[in-house]
Amino acid sequence: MSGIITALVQAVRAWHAPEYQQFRHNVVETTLMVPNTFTEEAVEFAIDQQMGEVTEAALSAWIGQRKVKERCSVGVVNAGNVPLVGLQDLLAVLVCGHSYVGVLSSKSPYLLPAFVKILLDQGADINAKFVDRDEMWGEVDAVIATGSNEAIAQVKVLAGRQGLTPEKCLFRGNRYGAAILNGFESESDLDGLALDVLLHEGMGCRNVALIIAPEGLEPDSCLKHFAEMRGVFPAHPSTPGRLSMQQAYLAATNQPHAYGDGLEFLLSKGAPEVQVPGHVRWVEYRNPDEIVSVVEALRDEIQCIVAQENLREQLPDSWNVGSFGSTQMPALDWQPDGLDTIGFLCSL
Amino acid sequence: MTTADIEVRFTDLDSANSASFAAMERALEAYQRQHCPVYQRFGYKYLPVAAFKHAEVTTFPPAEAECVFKSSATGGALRSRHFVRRMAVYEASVCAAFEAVFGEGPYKIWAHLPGYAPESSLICMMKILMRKYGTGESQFFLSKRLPNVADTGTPLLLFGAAFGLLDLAETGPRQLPRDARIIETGGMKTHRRTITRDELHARLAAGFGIDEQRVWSEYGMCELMSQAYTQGGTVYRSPPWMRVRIVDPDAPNREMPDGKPGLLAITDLANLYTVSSILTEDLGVGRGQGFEVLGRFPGSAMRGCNFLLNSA
Repeated sequence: MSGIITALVQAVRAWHAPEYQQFRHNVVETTLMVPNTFTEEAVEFAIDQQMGEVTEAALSAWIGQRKVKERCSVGVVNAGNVPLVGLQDLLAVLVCGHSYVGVLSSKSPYLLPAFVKILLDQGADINAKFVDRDEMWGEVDAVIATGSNEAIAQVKVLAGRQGLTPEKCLFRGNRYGAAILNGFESESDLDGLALDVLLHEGMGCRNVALIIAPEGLEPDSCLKHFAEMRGVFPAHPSTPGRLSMQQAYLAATNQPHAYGDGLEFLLSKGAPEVQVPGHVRWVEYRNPDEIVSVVEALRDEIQCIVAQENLREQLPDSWNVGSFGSTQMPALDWQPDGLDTIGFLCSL
Repeated sequence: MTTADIEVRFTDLDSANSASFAAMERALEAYQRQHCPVYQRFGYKYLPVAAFKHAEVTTFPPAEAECVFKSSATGGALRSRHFVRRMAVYEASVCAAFEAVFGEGPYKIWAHLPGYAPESSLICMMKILMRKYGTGESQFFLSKRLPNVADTGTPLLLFGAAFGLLDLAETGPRQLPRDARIIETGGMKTHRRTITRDELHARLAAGFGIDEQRVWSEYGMCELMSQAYTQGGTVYRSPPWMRVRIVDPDAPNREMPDGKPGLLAITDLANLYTVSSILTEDLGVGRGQGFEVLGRFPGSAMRGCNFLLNSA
């Protein structure tokens, strides 16, 4: 176990080493040429953030004292609408000593293979390869996949045909994040909220799609911070195009909304209904009970919740509320959908 | 070309004649742009289907509607309202689409639609079909007991929402006459979980004792006047006056190539007095002259990780 941990940490260090700078630059460049909604700033942010989580201490704590029952071959269907989103599963499979058979996302086909290449360059003793989705099924003893209910329904049928029992499958749903405001947020809180809402163009299963705010609070200060955030993380060129139809729709149906000058973000008031990426829904509450009822009604869909520290204390512990700005910086051991990936991989 | 011309002629369209469709589509878009304030303000071609929840999408005073279809809704969610100016247009569309697939009948038509409100378009459609093509044994039924299945020589068509039919099949086993057909009308998300259309058809066939090729599907919605059908298998064919295009969810003005998934963008010429071109929240894929429906795909689905759209 310690061998692979050392190799992973060395590979992460190599990302920052001078001899790999040109390689990293090329990988980012080619990633940006693929049809996706990634920007250079967001890709660099994702690489630095995720690689920063991969330390010897974090990896050791993640696996803990757990032992792998039997080594096998694990297929991972990567969704990849956020740069490097499949890294956690790759690390989990490798740290458990399993063979990794990945299906790449068409939106991000270069970042994960680049990391595997560096690992192999460092002499890591791993089995990892990437294949087409159809090829994967014949090669794996277990599978990890994330998708909508319909997508998972399809994969379940395919898994069943391959004789993979439910215990050999880890399926995660299609989720999003929510932020809860009390009107006393600091400038730094709102900077964090802007990242939670707008980074990666609103994509990803942790991105904040709903802002739950007290009745009467106007979103002006949030909008100011959204605009400032766009100074650091400019919108992808496709974002205004996607949001312009949304904005026209809101205007045509007289739904209250606000947007950035160049349509690099859009906010609308209304019922707690999640909108397209980049369009955040502002939901009002009149009392704390209404916060609970809104969140509990959507509990199965919400991946993570952020709020200010004072408010966090008043919210149910089971919600596991984080701080503003944390949604796009998940720790290595976070459990998507509350499912323990390492636990699953040890049980195979 | 006026709306009156289109009203009379849309069901005569031939799927081979795309020029006539295009001419009617253009004429209607211009008319609706001029007379429907929502569409005028919107400015794009495909109006998101949710507009029917938030606004009165009409080219005429809503009070003059002969009928208002309402979508089913869960909890306190808003319901779509489709103001139907002329029921004769709806009836013409429903009947022409049905006859193209099933002929003129007569059939013993059963409908199992538990939970559907009287103002749903599906209930209205079934009433029309029973009146026009049904024998006296045609009926709605809500209970878990099938009506008398004694074979009277008239072929049976069993229409039903997917989840309702599945519940019925699983409290079985049941045996329909071998020449019966089941037409599931959607609602893939059961009370328990989501299943694929293939799996649904296999389970319905087994549960009702008929061949899987005799399990067909209907695709329609409150906001559209017309319906598409599968005739065994999973590929829907729409009637010549209803064109289904598959578009990029990120840029609905961009059509996806055949075989690539995207949102269903539908132009239904029978939506004469509302808006003809609707952007649905359903994910589908083009298959030659037809299309498959892969499942629901609201805006929220574009956010989370989902390999359905983006596997390399």
